[in-house]
Amino acid sequence: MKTTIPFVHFCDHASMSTDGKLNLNGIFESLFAMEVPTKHPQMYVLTRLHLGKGEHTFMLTLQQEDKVLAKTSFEIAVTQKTQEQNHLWGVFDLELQSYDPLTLKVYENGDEIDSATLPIYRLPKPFKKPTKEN
Amino acid sequence: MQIQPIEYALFCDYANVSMDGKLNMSGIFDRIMTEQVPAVHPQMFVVSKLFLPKGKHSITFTLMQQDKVLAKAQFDKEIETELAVHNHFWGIQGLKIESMEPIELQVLIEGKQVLVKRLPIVKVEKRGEPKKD
Repeated sequence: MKTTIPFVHFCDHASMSTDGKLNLNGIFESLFAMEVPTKHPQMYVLTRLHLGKGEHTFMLTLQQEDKVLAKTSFEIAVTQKTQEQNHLWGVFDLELQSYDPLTLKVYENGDEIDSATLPIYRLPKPFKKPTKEN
Repeated sequence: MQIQPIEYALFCDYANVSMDGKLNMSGIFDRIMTEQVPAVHPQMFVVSKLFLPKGKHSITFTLMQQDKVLAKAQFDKEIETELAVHNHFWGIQGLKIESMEPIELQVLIEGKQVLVKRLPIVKVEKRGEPKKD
């Protein structure tokens, strides 16, 4: 069975409670920056995987154009016919180099199986308060 | 390119949008545990992300068990841009679960079914009485 990804969420914080329920706080679909390069202090990437029986090796990357900014790898062994699995990835101090969109790419056994893109918008700098001298 | 009208629909205990436009979902679940039926589920939210083209749309959310409608919400949405994203929150209080049949969420746009999602009901054993010394 081909692995599918029902959804991906980018959020400020994600956790799994002891009863198996998922909590997603501050889901966002774009990033804002006044200038680049800049650091995004903390984000979580939730990937819901729909898997068939067998062993699966995944790699997730966050990249701008061809430059990989962060990556993680993990393995999942599925003993049932199918399984839905949540994967939480905490990404800290992500260095954004430009205003090019940030792309999450999902690879299984080296093949790209899905992707999701976050646009990055330039925010205007706030006006400086006039000083007495001015 | 064909755009799916609905990206996802999730069941959770609570959901809201913060002042900065970010979505929060607490207690996302994909099954309901109960010791017995009939039972009442005190509160849940169905959060969905819809892609709607320009025009007036009639959208219906229904929770069903077999042929019985447990809860229903219908609303109209007018879109003025070519394509709009609409995050929809449906809060359901006191949902009466009549049997162990799975609950089915059906989403219809203009009467056409765009999503069916099953929420299984799982029977759990009653917690044991504490032993007396």
